[in-house]
Amino acid sequence: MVGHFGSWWPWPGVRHRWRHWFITFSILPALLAVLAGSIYPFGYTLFVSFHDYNLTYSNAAFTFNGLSNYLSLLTVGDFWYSLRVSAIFTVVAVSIELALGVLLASLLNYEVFGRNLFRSLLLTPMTIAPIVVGLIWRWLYNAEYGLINYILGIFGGRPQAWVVNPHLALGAIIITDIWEWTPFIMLIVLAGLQTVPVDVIEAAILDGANSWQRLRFVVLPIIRNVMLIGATFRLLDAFRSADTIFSLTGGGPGRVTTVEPYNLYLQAFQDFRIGYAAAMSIVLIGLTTLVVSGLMKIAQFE
Amino acid sequence: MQKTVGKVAAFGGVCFFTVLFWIPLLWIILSSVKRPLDVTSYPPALIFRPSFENYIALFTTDQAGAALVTSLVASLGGMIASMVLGTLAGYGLAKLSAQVGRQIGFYFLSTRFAPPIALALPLFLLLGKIHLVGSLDALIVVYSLFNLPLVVWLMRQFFRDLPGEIEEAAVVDGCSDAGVFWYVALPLVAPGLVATSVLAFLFAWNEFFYALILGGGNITTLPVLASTFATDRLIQWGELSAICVVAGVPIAFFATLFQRYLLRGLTFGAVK
Repeated sequence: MVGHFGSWWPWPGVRHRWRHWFITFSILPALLAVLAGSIYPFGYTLFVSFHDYNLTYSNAAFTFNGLSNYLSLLTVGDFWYSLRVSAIFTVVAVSIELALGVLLASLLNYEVFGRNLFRSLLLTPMTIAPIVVGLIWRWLYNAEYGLINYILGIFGGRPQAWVVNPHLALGAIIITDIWEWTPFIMLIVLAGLQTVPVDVIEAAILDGANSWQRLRFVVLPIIRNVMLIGATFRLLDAFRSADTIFSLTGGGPGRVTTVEPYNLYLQAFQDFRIGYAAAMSIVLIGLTTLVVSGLMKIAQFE
Repeated sequence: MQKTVGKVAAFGGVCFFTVLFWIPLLWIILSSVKRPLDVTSYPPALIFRPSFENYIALFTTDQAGAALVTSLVASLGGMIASMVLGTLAGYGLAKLSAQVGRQIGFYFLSTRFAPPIALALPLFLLLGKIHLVGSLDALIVVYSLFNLPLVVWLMRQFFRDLPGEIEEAAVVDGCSDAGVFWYVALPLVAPGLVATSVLAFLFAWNEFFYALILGGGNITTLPVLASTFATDRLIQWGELSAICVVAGVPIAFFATLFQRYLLRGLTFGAVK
C-alpha cells in the first residue's frame, strides 16, 4: 500500500522540531515571493476600486466615491450576464478536458508502442500561444474558407457560421478550449501515473489484488489528487483568461461570448473606467476565492 | 493474451486521438509553406507549390530571431526560478501535515485568482517606478511568480505520492533532511519534475499579456510578435502559421531532451 504519511511531522518519532529547519526554510522563499507579488497589486486594486477613476476625464483625477462602483457593478451592466457566460464556458470545457485528459493519460500509460512520440505529439496543442490559437481557430471556423466547414462538406454536412451564429459561438470557443488544454490534464495525470513505483504495484499483485482492486486502491487515489490540481488550475485559468476568446470571437457576436475577463478588458481598456474595472476585479477575486475554497473543502483534498 | 488485446486497443485509441488533435496542426504546418494566394484559397489547396517565403519574411522583416531569443531567455529564466523555489516549497509542504500544507498552498494560489488584466496595471506602475519597464529581468520575475503556484502544488503532490519507506530508510541511515531531499526524494520524482518544468516553461513561453504590457515596446516575445500579424485590416495567415511552427520547435526539443528521465521503473529495487 502506498506509504502512510501526512499526520506526523515529518518523520515518525520526531522529537525536536527545530532540527528540521530545512522543511520550514524550504517553503519561505517561495511564499515570500508570492505574497509580495500578490499583496501589492491586490492592495492597489482595492484602493482604486473605491474611487471614480476614469482615464477619459480631462484631468484623470481620483475622486473617492465609496461603494458606488460596486453598486453600479452589481445592478447595472453586463456583469451578471458575463458571469453566466463564464460559468457555462468554464464548467463545460473543464469537465470535458478532465475526462478526455484522464482517458488519454490512461491509454498512454499502457506502455504502448511509441508512447513517448505520441505523448509529445499530443502535447502540441498546448504549446501554441493562446492568442495565436484564437486566430488559427477563427480561420478554421471561417464560414467561407474555413477548414472545418470544408471537412463538414466532405461528410455531407452544411457549412455553419460557427463564430457568427449566436447559438454556436459559445460551443465553438468551448471546443477550441478543449483542444488546447486537454494536453495539460493528460500531462500531469500521466506524470502522476508514472510516479507510482513499479514495486508498489507488484506488492499489490503479490498481496493478491486483481486489476480492478489495483486500479481502485492504488492508482485512483493518486490520480484523484493530481486530477484535482489539474481541475483547480484549469477552472481558475478558464475563468480568468480571455486571450483565446479575444482573438477568436472578440466577445461576440454581440456579447454572447463575452466572459468576465473580456468584460473587464472592455471596461478598462475600451471605456477606461479604471475605478469600475478595479471594483469588478475585486468582486471576481472574491468570488473565485469562495469557489476555490469551497471546492477544496468539498473534495476533501488531501 | 488479454494484455495484448488491451495494448492494441490502447494503441488504436491513441492513434485516433492523435490524428484528431493534429488536423489543425497539420493545417498550420502546411499553410506555413504556402504562398500568400494559396493560403486563403477555397477549397483549401492541398496541392500547391511550396515556398519558404513566410519563414524568410519572418526572420528578416519581422525580426523573429530577436523575439525568439527574448522568449527563450524569459521562459528559461522564469522556469528555472520557479522550479527551484517551487520544488523546495513543494517538498516542505508535502512534509507538513495535510491541513497545514493545504492552507499555505491556498495562499500560493492567490495570484491565480485574478484576471491578468487586473494585476497588470499595478505591476506596470510599480515597475515604472523602479525603472524596470521594458526590462527582461522584470519579465523573468513576473513569469517565475505566476508559475510558482503550479509548481508548488504539483511538486507537493508528487512528493506526497512517494512511498515513505525509502525516505525513512535514508533517515535511519543518518541522512540529513536536506540530504534526503536531494539524494532520495528528488530523483524519485523525476517524472513529475520533468512534467512540471515543461509546463512552467510552456506557460512562460506562451504568455502574451504581461509580455505586451511590461515589455513596453522594447521587449518583444514571440506571442507579442504573432499578435502583430493580425490587424483590423489584414491577417497575415502565412507568417502566423510560420511563427507557430517556429515557436513550437524549442518546446519539442526541450521535451525530447528530457525523455529519458521519464522512464518508469527508476525506483525499481530501491526498497530492499
